[in-house]
Amino acid sequence: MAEKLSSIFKKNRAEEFPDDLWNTFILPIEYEQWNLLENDKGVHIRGGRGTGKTMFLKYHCFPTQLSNERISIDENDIKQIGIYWRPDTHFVQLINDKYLKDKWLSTFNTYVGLSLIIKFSKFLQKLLISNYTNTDTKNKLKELKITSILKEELNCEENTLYTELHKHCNGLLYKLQNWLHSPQKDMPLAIDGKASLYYIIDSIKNEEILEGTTFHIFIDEFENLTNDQQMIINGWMKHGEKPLLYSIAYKKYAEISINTSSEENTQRRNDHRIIDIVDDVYAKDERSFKIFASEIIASKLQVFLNNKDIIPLSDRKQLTSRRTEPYKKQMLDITKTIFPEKDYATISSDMINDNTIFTKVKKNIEHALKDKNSPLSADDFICINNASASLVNSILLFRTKTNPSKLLKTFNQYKEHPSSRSKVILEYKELISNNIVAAILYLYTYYSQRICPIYSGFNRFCMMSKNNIRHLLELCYQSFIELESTIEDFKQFHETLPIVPLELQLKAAKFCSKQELETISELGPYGQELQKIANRLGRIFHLKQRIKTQSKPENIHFSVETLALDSIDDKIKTLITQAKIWNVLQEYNITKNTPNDIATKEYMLTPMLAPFYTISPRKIHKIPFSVDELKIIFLDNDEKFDKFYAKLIKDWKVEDKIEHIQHSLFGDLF
Amino acid sequence: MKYKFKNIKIFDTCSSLPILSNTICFHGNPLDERGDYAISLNIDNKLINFKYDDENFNIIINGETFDVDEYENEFLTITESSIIIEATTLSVIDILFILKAIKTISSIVDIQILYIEPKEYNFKNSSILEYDDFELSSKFKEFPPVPGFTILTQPYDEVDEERENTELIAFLGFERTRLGQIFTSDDGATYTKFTPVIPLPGFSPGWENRTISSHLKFFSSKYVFNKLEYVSANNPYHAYKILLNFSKTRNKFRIAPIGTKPNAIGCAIFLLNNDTNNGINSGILFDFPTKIKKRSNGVGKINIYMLIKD
Repeated sequence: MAEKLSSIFKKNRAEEFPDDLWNTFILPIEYEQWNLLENDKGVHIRGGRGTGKTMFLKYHCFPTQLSNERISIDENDIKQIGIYWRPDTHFVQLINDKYLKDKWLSTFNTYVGLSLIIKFSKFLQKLLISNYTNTDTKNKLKELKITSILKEELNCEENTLYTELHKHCNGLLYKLQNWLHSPQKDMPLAIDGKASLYYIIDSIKNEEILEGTTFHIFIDEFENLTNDQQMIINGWMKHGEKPLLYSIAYKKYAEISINTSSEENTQRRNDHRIIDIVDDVYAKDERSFKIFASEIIASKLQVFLNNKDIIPLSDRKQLTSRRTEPYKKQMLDITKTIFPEKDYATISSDMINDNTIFTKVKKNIEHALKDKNSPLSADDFICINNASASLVNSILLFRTKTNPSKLLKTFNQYKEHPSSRSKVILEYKELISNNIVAAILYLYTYYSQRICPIYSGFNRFCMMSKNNIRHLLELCYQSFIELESTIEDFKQFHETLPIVPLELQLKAAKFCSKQELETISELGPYGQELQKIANRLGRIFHLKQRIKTQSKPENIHFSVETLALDSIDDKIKTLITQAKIWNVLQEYNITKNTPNDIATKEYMLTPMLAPFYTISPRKIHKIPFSVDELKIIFLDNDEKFDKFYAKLIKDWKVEDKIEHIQHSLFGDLF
Repeated sequence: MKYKFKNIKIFDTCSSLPILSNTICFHGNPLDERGDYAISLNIDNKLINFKYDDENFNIIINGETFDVDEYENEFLTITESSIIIEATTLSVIDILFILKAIKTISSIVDIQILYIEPKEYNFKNSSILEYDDFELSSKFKEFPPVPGFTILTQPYDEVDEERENTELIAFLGFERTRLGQIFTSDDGATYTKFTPVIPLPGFSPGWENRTISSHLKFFSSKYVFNKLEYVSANNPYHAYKILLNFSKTRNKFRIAPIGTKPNAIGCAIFLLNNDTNNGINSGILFDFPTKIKKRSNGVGKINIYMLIKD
C-alpha cells in the first residue's frame, strides 16, 4: 500500500511504468474498435504529448501479452504479437546522406534490422518463460539454433540459439556505433532490415513454431526519424502483410512523410487507417474524457484504499458493464466527490459576502452611475440574496447601452419574481448567465494574491486539461500534495475517499498552470519562442479581462483576419504548427468545410494557463487579430510588443495600469 | 596518447599575459567585447577561423569546407610545435574537433587554450522571464549528433536484464531550457540516471544559486535524479577529474556540456582521452545555441590552460 496518496499520482509518464501493463492498463471503453492486434494492415497512431500514446502501444506488445500475470496463454492469445520499438532519436540523426554519403541507407537498414532482431529474440526468450501452454513449441524453441545462412549473415558463433541471438546482435549494434565514429572504413556488417527479420520469422515457422502468428512492429516517435528514413519505413509499411506488419506512431500535427522511397509508390493520405488517441480512442467527446479520467483516478485510488469493489479496468470481459449508464455515473460521482466544485451562483454569493469584494462591487457601481450622471444609489443594484445578478449589474452598468433606471426596474422585477416567464426577465436571466463568469473573473483581476474560484472542481479540471490525461493527473497530484500538507495523519485517507477542499484545488491549479508555462520553453526547438508567444497571448487575454464593460467576455482564443494566406509570414506558420504539436495552441475550424489554412482557423491558448492569467478556460469569445498584430505577437521584439500592449490598454480603456502579471511571473522562485 | 593539463593560470586584464607568439591561433567569430579582445591578443599569430557545421556535418576552415573525415589532413601541414586554441570564440564542439585532429600530430607538443571571462552577462529585460534571467541564446538545436562522439542507447526494456544502463551527466549553467530540452525530446525514456554538475564556486559569488534554482525541478525522481556534483566554474581540470571519477563505475553515459566553457573544455579532453579502447562508452550532447550578439559586457579574468601530450 502506498504511504502517500500523492505518490501514486506522481508517475504520469508512460516510460515510468513497466512494459507489462496486463493488469494496470485501463482499456478504452470502446476497446474492441481500437484493438491494434486485430488489424491486417499497419496503422498510423497519433497523439499529442501526454495523451497516453506510448502506454496504448505498449499494451499491445509482447511483454504485456506474455505477462506473468496471465495464468494461461493459448494460441488464440498470440495470433498477433506486438513488438514495440523506439529509435534512439539522437543517434538516428547521424544516419544521413550528408555524413555517410551512399552508405546511409545500408547503415539505417542495419541499425533498424539489428534492433528488431534483438526485440524478436527477446520475444522468443519471454515466450519460453511465459505461461504459454504449448509445451511442444516451447521445447522445440528452447533448442532451436539459427540457420547457417543467418550464422554467416550475422557472423555468429556455431550453435547460437534464437532465444540468445539478441546478445550477439547487441554486440553488433555496438560495433556499428563505433564504426560510425569513422565511417570511411568498411562497414562491420550490413543487413537488410526488413528482409532479415522476415527471414528469421520464416525460418521459425518452417520448424512448425508459431505457424499461425503474425508479428506487428510498432515504431514509436516516428517523427524523429529523418525524412529519408521515414520513407524507408513507409515502404515497409505499405508492403507489410501477414506474417509481418509495421505500424507507426507520432505526435499529432508533426509533419511526417507519407511517401515511400520509390516515387511511383506515392501513397494517398487515405491509404492507411489513422487512429487518433484523443479524438478516437479516449475522448470522443467531453463526457467520455471525464469518464475515462474518473476511471483512471478511481483505479489509482483503488490501489491506495485497498478496495476491490471497482470493476477491473484491464479486463476485456468488463467492457460491456463499463458502458452502462449507472456505472458511468458512479465513476463521475467518485471524482466529483474528491474534487468538489462550487457553481457560479454560490461563488457569487461568497463574493458578495466578502467585505473587500462587496466594497469593490459597490464602488464600481457608484463609478458607473456617476459616469452616466444617474442619481440612483449603488445599493439598489446589489442584493445579498441575488448575488449573481448583483455582480453582473456591476459590469452591465458600464456598458453604453445600459440605462440604469431600466436595469434597476428589471432587477427589482427579477428579485420579486425570479421564475417569471416574462420576456424581460428571461432576457435578463440570459444576460446573467452569459456574463457571470466574466464578472467573477473581472473582480478577481483586482486581487492578484487571491485565486479565482472558478478553477476548482473535477469538471473544471477536465476543462483545463482539455483531453490531456497527463495534465489532469498533474492537477490531481498537486491537489493531493496540498491536501497532505494540511493533514498530519494520513491513515484516514486509507479508509474513505479523500476530499480536496476548494482552496487547495485552486492552489494546485495555479501551481500547475505556472509550471506548464515554465515548461513550454523546453518543448521542441522553438520552445523559447513558444513560451514568449504564450505569455504575450496570456497577457492580452488578461488585459481584455480587465475591461470594465466586459463586452464579448471570456477570451482565450483568437483568429486571424485575412483572406490572403500569403500575407502570413512562413515563420508564423511554423510557430503555429509547433504550438499545435506541443499543445500550446489548439486549433479549431471557424466553420465547417472551409479550406485548410490559417485564415479559416481559430486558435485557443491551452486552458492549463488560465489560472495563471486569471482568464476564462472556456472558449467563448475570440479576439480577431490583424496580420500585423499577429506578427507583433509572434515575431517582434519586446519593445514593439510593449508598444502594442500599451496601445491595447488605451484602446480598451483599461483603467488600472498596474501590471501584476508581469511581476508575479516566476517571481516567487527567486 | 593522452592530453594532460600542464597548468591552469588566471590573469587580470592588466597583467602581462604569457600568450604564445609567432604561432597558429584557432578561433571562431567574436560575439562580444571579450571575443574581440581575445583575438586582438593574437595579433602576432597566424589566425585560422575554424567552425564545425552541425547541419551539414562538415568543417569550415578559413571559409573552405571539408568533410568530417577529411579535415584532419589540413592539420598535417602545420609546422609549428605549439598552437593556440582561442576558446572564447569557439564552441566546445569546435574545440573537440581541433584537439582530435592535433592529437595524432606528434610535432605539435604544446597547446595553449585561451578563455576570457566576461565582466558581466547581460540581464534580460524582457517581459517573459521576469526574474533576472540572462539573455544568452536565442535558439537551441535539438541536440544534433556529433560525428565520432555519438553513442547508441537502447531505451528501457525490462525483458533484458543484462541491459546496459545509459546515464546522463550534465554540466549546468543558467539556461534551464537546455536541460529541459534533453528530457522532453524523448519524454525521459533514454536515461536511467541523471547527474547534474553545478558550478560552485561560480564565476561570481552567488551565481551557483541561480543555476540551482533554475534547475530545481530536475532534481527529482521524475527526472531520474541521482546526485549533485559540484565543479569549479572556471576549472577544466576539475570537470575532467569529475568525469574520470564518474566513469569508473559506469559503462555508458552521455555528457552534456551546457554550462561554462572551461568545464566544457574539460569534457572535450575527457572524451578524447577516453574511448571504447579503454572500455568507456561515452558520447556528447550539445545543442549548438545561437548566441546573442553582445551577450556579455566587458573583459573579465583571462584564463590560460597549457596542455601537453603524454
